[in-house]
Amino acid sequence: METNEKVSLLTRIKRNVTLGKVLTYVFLAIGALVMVWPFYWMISSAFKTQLEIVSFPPAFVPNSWAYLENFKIAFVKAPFAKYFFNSIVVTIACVACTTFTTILASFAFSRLNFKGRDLIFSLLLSFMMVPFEMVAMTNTTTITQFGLNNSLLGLIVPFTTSIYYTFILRNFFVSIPDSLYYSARIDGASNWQYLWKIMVPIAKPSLFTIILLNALTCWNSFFWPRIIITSAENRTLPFGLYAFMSEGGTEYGPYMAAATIVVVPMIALFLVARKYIVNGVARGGLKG
Amino acid sequence: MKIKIEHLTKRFGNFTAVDDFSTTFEDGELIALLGPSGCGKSTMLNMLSGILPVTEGKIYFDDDDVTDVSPDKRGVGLVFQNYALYPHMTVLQNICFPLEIQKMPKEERIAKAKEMAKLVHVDEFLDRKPGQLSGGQQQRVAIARALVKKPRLLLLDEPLSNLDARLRLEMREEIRRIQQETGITTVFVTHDQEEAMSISDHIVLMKLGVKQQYAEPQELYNDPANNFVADFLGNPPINKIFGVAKGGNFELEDGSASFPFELCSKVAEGTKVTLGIRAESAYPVATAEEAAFVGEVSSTYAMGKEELGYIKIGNQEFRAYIASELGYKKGDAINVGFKDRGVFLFVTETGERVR
Amino acid sequence: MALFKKKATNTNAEVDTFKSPNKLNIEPFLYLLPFIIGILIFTIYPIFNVLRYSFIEGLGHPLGKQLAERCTFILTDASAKGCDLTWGLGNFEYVLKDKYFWSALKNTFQYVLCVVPVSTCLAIIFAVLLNQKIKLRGLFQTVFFLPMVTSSIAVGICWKYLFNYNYGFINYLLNTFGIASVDWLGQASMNIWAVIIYGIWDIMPMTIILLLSGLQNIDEMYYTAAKVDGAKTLRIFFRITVPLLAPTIGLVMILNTISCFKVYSSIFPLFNGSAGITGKNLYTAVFYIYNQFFINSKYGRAAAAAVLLFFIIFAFTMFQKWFQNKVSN
Repeated sequence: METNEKVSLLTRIKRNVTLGKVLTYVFLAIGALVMVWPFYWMISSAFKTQLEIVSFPPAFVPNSWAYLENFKIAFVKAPFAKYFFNSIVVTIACVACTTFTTILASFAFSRLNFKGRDLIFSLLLSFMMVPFEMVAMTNTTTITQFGLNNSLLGLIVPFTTSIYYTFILRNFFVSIPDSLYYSARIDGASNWQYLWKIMVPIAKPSLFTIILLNALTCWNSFFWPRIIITSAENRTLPFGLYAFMSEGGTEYGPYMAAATIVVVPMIALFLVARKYIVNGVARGGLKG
Repeated sequence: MKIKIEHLTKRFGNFTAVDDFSTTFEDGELIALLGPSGCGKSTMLNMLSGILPVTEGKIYFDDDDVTDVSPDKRGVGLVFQNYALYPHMTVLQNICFPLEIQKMPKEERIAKAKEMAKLVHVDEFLDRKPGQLSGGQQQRVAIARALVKKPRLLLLDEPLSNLDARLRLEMREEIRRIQQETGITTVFVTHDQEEAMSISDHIVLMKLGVKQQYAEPQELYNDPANNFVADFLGNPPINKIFGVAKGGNFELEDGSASFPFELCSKVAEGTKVTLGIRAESAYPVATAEEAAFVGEVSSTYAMGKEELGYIKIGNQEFRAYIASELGYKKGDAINVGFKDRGVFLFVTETGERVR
Repeated sequence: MALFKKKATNTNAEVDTFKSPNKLNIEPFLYLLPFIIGILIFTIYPIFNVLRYSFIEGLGHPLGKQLAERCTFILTDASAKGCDLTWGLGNFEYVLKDKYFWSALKNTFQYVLCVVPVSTCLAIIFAVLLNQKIKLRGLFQTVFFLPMVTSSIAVGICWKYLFNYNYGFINYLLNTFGIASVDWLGQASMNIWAVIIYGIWDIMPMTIILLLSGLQNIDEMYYTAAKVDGAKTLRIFFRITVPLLAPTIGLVMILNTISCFKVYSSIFPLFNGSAGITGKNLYTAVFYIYNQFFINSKYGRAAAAAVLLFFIIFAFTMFQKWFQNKVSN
């Protein structure tokens, strides 16, 4: 009797489990479809003819994936290659500079000692909640006074330091045991040697994370370029895309082709380095 | 290398971690800094390495005053309690690191590192990362890294405390062997008396930042400078009977018993004194005439050929070894005699030894 | 010893420099120099400058921009240089009386009140599902997190296409379920709903990630215990998962509220850079600030609005800190 009950309980649980599993997959599949649909629509529409674009009910699959006319139009009407190049230059320069200043500052805030270190650091943290929109106004004036408006340098210079990334990296540096530092110093290493030979190699995962988050932010940045850049040849991709759309007609095919060009590199990056990006975001959001 | 320490003091704010410490460590010796938690032994070590600046006093390596010399220029090797191996480097790279910083040519430093790895028996693991090594192996690598630059002084901070019991015995012997093979003056910190007693040439016993005694291990046990030293060393711990010196007699605090004890005449009449008796130094004698005093057996525990017994005198108890064949039982009167060694008298208030 | 050692390493004011304490050690400042210069010029100075702007009334003047260029660095002696600038609360007064500012606040609040609860609820469900031991977990996570890494302009353009009245995919879906097409972008009253739908989609990845990391901190034994007790899946979800996840949920909601308050970038591509189809109906707080600054050149008013926005965000941040402290105690 008792065993019978047990058996039936087991089968019930089993049935529940399989039903639960099926429901899990169904829900996840629906959610995934919703999340990925705009991307699918964007990329597939890039290969659709104007007729397919405006057809209703819509064409789910382009007639031919070899239809490249939209890309051609995009590249003819707007210098997307140039935009692409600008974006790469700006992203690499920003990430390289920010990473460098961040490493040095994190080291000073975690390892070196000076009066008021922790006070200064917590003051800086409190600036993190100031929205960028608030400082952008003055920065526009500053960049103009530096004579850097309408130049790629003007896109790079304000983004060579970051409190948020310094905060992330400092926290990691703090977690490295003191004894490593003393060991290295007794082994004869200077602070500089210790930083680059011991601390930075150990901090590689955290560094990857801040580099990737920073690269994403730079690549997707739109408002700052829109404020600073006035001539077409200095636009970066998102701004170039926006300008292309607001200057062009209403043909979605070329827009979707252009949007695909902007989005695909970041999707590729995400596929390769998902772990680091997700870890970074889990620590408190994409931006400070 | 000889190390001379003069009036060394370290204060953190109001807290004095090391207080007016003076001593000399002889060349080529293995020295243990022994003491309970918070006694300042690690602070001492850190001042010797140069990690901590000193508040007052001087440190000399041979004749050089190194008090203000930074750690990278002192020529010391330091092994941390957690070994502090660089996790991203292989064993070989770890051992090479001090030489790399000195800009020694690559082939030369690899040769030296391999030689050192052989000395500490880690030459099979040269390409592994520290995370793939056992605690004992990490320990050996850390020692090799500390030794590879031929330091004048090797410092070990609680070198055995992160190892399990079996490894601890093994590494203890290893540290002794390596120290003797290299002949480098070595100072190590420990809170374990057995560890200190078994391998060191000299022991510094510390308490609350103050040096209690600097002596050879056996001397520390046989001839403690004060109550604390006697108390800290020995297993089972030394017996203590509290009383008062009265007319050359040792009288128990409550006056419940009294017996003649020569040293009691050396202190002022009525001074509170503590009698320290090692368990192996009190033994049963046949007649009351030979005995120091007569007590009562309060319990016995069989321990092979001997029994560990609790003997009561007045209302205080102490431990002694009693041969089982004597057949003492609970409640029996027992004549207790003292051996020459292992019985000390201390002034209770100061802990000072009465000689 | 342990306690003591901690002391020795943490009060390493003297420890790390390895120098005699009397000497001034400039090394840390060399390391900090590049960072501090950048932060001073592009973060700290602008913050104080915005505060200052917000109290200078002449900057609301039609000639504000030229005046500002001449007078940017003057604090007290504005009139001496012929600038028609005075200190005062006029900018705040103007902004607080401006109906567009209030409609911006109203839109912002409506956006926040819809996006935050809906996205959080959906994200809880998907986070729990993604936390199961399922096949293709990596693939599912990639797909769910994708919007996070992509340009809001590029994706926004795509949404504009999806929202299209005549041939957009969303209306096609509605029609399939027997609902009439909606003019999302052309009809002023529907504009905000388009932005809200896009906003929910946009904020999902971050919300899911934060909740997932909260879920991974819940001890497996609670689930095992509940299963042994025979609890059903739904009951486990409501009685175990949700209460234990509550601190993370609270945190996520506050973070999302702050980020939703700054909504701007998702409106931009949908309406070609204007605030809704009429150009006025979809002001948000940030939109208002930008338009005052870059289009109307009313620096003082923009600054005053920015300061007000900052205080709203500041209040939420303080609330979040308080909340986190309370939960962790």
